[in-house]
Amino acid sequence: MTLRRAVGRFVTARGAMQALHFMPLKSFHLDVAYDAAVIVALRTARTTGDRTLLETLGIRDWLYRLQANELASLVADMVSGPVRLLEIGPAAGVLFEAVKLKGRSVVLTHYTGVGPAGERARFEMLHGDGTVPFTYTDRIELEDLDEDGGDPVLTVFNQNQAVRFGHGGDLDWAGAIAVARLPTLAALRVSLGRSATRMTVHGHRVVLPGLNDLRRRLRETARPWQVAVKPGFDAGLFLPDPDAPGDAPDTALCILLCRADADRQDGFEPV
Amino acid sequence: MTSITMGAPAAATFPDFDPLPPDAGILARKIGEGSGLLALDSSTRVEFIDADGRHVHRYDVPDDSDLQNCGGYLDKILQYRSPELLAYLREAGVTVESFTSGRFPLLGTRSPMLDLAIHRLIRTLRKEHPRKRVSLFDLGCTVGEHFDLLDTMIRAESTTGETAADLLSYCGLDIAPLVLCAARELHRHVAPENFRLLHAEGSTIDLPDGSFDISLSVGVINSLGDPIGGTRKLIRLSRVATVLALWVADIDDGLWATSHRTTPTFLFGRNDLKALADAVPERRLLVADFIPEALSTQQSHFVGIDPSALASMGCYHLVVTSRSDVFPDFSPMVF
Repeated sequence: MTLRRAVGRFVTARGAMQALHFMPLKSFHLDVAYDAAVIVALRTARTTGDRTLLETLGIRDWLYRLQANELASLVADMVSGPVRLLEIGPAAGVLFEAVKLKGRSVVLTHYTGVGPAGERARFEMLHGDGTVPFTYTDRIELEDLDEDGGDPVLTVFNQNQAVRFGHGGDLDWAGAIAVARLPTLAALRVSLGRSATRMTVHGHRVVLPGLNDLRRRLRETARPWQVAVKPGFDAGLFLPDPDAPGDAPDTALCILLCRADADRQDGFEPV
Repeated sequence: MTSITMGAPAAATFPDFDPLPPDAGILARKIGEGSGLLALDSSTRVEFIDADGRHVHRYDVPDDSDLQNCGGYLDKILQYRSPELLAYLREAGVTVESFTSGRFPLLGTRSPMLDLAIHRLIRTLRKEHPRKRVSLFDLGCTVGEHFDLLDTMIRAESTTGETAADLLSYCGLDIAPLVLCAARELHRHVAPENFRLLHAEGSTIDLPDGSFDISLSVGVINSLGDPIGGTRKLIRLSRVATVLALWVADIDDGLWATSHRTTPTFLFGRNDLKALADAVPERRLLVADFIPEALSTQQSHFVGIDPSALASMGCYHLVVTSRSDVFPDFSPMVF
């Protein structure tokens, strides 16, 4: 199907549907801009104690879509003592900043972000404040981090963030999660049916693992995986599947966590 | 070994479509004429239609200009700070020719061309007073990106490793707290006394006349609550020169239009420009450039402007100064 797209600001008379005016916007005014803006808001809250920016509607909306606060809280719950964070798919590093805001509840000694090389300059500019030492790389051997004798590593697979830019579009996220060392946390857009290739509104083709297949795959690891599923979460990011029946949501956000102890996280269930 | 490599695959491209219905312009023009008693809403979204023109999909994102500006200007800073740009300017020189060569297309756009004029002033003032920092006031500073391009220009010309942090005393003012926070975060390497930020509406500047060597505003004066009074104040704030981009219409007295942000925007008329020329008697309005709105890359900036009216609008790049010796290539505005 040939689709045409309009991206920008639509001006209407109050309460009307029909647009009176249209201002096209560039891609750097959208996801890239929102990520940078929430990093600034989180940083300001941390450095000044003033959370006013975090309470603005646009910032709250974007933080929710990225699940940044939710994931940062889970990081805080999953670790005790000094920890290194390894994030696969950080984009500009919103979660990194949200974890820094956790302050004393997370003793973050190092952060590694694994993302496309082309994003390095932006990441380094936004996080060059020296608060937490970090590395940005486009390739990593997961085992290397465990063998270096440093602080324990919590791995976060942040496909929910990466998918907005098509980062890791060819990565087998479910496969990588299944073999990751503990503790592990993941935010994954999934298909509620079978694994499906979908296109985002930004034109990136992404493979969404099927939820049931994912559950089965993780059960087979014999590890204590826990899951929380949010059907229909931010589903509009994906263009409609022409083969999908009806209007019921066919995608979901799946938050997964696994740690050595089997304590049940509030709101989660075993896979 | 579990190896993860992160790439960024290319995105599919979609042809654009014009989402406005054929009759949208009629009602919108009533707003443009100021005769439409309408409250306006806006939303930022991605819309798709199929080959038959049927709406297929809509995805809304936060409709917040501060967020969008923050990211847009951060993108500029990234480009201004790139080592490739610095190397290019070292080789090609900081000149109109190097800015307009097309090698770095961003350099040929409005804001960098105005920074080039500021750089000329900085170069002159440093020659005349080598030990004195040049002070610069930036009205509508957003994330402080002018500082970064000036820094790259200064680095490119310096044989002793000087930077903007060494030579400038910068003060930025903006109405949006978010962009000011971003400006602060991105310039922590500059001593706070040389990179000051003020949160205020630009018409309410409460600083003594002659507080700065140079003052600057790129279009923001059109959005002030008191555009004429605020701009006259901005001119008086400077001891040497004021660098401006301002939108005008070919009319005697200015008028209020509506921007796509649904906020009022003032278009200066001839009498308003005269009022600016009179802000400091010995100064003149020197015209660096004039971009007709019909050639602008953002022709949708104003809501409800009739295409014929658009032809009479444009943006002046001006330097308000008595130092015409610094700008022999700029023409004095004739009224």
